[in-house]
Amino acid sequence: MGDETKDTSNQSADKGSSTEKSDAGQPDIPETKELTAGASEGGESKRPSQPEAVGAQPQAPPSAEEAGAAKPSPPTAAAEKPAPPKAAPAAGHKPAPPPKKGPTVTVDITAGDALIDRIRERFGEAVTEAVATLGQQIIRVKKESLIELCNFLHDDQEALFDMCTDLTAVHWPDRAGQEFDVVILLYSVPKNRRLRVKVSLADGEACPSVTAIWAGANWMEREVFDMFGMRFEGHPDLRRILLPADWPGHPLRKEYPIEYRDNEWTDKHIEYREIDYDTSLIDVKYAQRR
Amino acid sequence: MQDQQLAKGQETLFDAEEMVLNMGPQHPSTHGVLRVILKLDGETVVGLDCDIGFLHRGVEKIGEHDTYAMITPYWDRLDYVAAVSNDLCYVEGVEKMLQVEVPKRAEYLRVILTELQRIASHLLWLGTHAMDIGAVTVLLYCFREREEILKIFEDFIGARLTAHAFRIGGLWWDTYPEFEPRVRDFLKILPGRVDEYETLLNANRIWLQRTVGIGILPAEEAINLSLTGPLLRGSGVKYDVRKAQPYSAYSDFNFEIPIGENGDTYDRYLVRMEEIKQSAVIIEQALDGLPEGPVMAKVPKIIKPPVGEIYHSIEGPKGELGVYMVSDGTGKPYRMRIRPPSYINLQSLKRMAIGHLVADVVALIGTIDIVLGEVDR
Repeated sequence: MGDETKDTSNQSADKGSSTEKSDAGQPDIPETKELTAGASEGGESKRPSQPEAVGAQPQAPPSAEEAGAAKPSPPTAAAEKPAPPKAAPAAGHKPAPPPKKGPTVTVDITAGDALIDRIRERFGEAVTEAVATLGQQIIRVKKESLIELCNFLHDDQEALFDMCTDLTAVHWPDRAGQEFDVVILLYSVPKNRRLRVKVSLADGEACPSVTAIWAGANWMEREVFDMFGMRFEGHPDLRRILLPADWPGHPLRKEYPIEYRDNEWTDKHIEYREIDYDTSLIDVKYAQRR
Repeated sequence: MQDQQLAKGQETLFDAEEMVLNMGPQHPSTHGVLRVILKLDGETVVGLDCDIGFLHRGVEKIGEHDTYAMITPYWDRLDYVAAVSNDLCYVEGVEKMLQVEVPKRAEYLRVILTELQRIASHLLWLGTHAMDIGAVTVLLYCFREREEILKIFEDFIGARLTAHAFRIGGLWWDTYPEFEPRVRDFLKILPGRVDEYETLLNANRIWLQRTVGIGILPAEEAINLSLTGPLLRGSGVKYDVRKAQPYSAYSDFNFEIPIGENGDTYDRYLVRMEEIKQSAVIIEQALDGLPEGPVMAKVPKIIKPPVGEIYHSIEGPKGELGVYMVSDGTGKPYRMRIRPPSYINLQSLKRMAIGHLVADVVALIGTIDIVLGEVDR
């Protein structure tokens, strides 16, 4: 998927923390200057009573940004992204200008990252994309393999993604057949590493639920259902969570306008009554009370 | 499990039927407008459901329609007792996308303000939590110190609650001359005051009875429930974003991450008290090493991050506060997702409350430390 030479800046970031199992200290990564802030500290957070270890770490966010800024990919790489961003959907309130594509910061992950290689080896064609944006790794997987992949990421001794940090969705109305991206942000406490898993879905298609693997995804999936109208197969309790049960529409879809949408619901539920303000009466009562 | 048994019609305590009790939305111990629907067997909770969303304002939707700079004030209003921390998360997320390097002085000032905010947030939590359980005095003591912090904010930023000092690229203003001595004065009095709270609570028999052994969460379960912040650390997991994946200038400072052992409400209290002390340690170091220089980086007037996406998270007072943003190269985010720690931590209420008494639910809502402005967004 694209140019193999231009992506050295970001993908080496997480190599160290994934390969070494024993301890933190200094991960044996050859290119230290290209480390990102993301996953560089190994298992340091797990070690008790090590207050001053942080100051010794050479890599800081600025170095990652320098590395990223030094080698920005040419804008043509934006076209390779299977998710061509469009500025606006067909919504009346937004003028929908032609999308101006700036320089992209997304590069493909090629061979070299141990975990990504393992995933590719194991899942083959099911992993349709593996990229890094500003040092943050993203893999896109086919819907059929999502649960298998999540189980693998949760249980595998080199992955150990035991926490589902966040689960959300993005609506791309212009992408026919895959209007929705479900984005699962994973974090591994033992490995101190993040990974993002994406699934593309068509409008109306149900997503397999990951609540059986990460119980914390329960409310996140409910919120996605609430905001995007996407169903999750296997979710134990799929109801609206933030909006009322009979709310019309799903607000975070791009065709949903931002203004004047609560009138319908309010008219139905809130009774307006004419109140005859007899000010003299109020004054009398107020005076009496005093 | 108990839930299902009841549904099958098995006998309950005293052969009574289970009862459904509504807590909230206007209940003082729910810290806002949280409605908790309890299913009770006698006084024991056998089922629980949270009804949230009363304060939903659609911040994520608003975010898609505003420019990057316009969104920042909305973040103040998420967790409205920790506005500074919220801003830090968003502002750093955008800076990461733009690959802007913030001046060192701005980063240090950000750390100082954020840690002050953490102390203020924890003090508010301690006061209200203790008051929920019955120790009204603590609230008055906590608000005394919180007031000092709010005064510092007011003189620096101009607001007490929705303090909005951070801009994309740095800070809007530099500090005023008395800022540093005032913060130092506050740090001088703080340890003594924290001792006062601990005198009031640590060995207080009522406090111990209401908190020890209540809402125990084992470490694996806490991780599986995506809990972060003091809730997770109280269970003994040493995960703090400030250490694990340092942002801003946190890698420059030495501090410890307190963790609990038993994962109960009392341990979470101890963790938060220790965090107050550690925050003071960080502020002291930041003041000592505060560099001179500008507080604002060169940022274009019209902010257009490159096409791509970012997830950036900070350690907020309530837990890991994150922002996931997708940029399409225009001046407005294509999608802005807030990872609200209160919302995700609130999930654990059901897990913790079942089997406990109704009165313990009040303690458990307190220990999660929710702010409904962030839960509902």
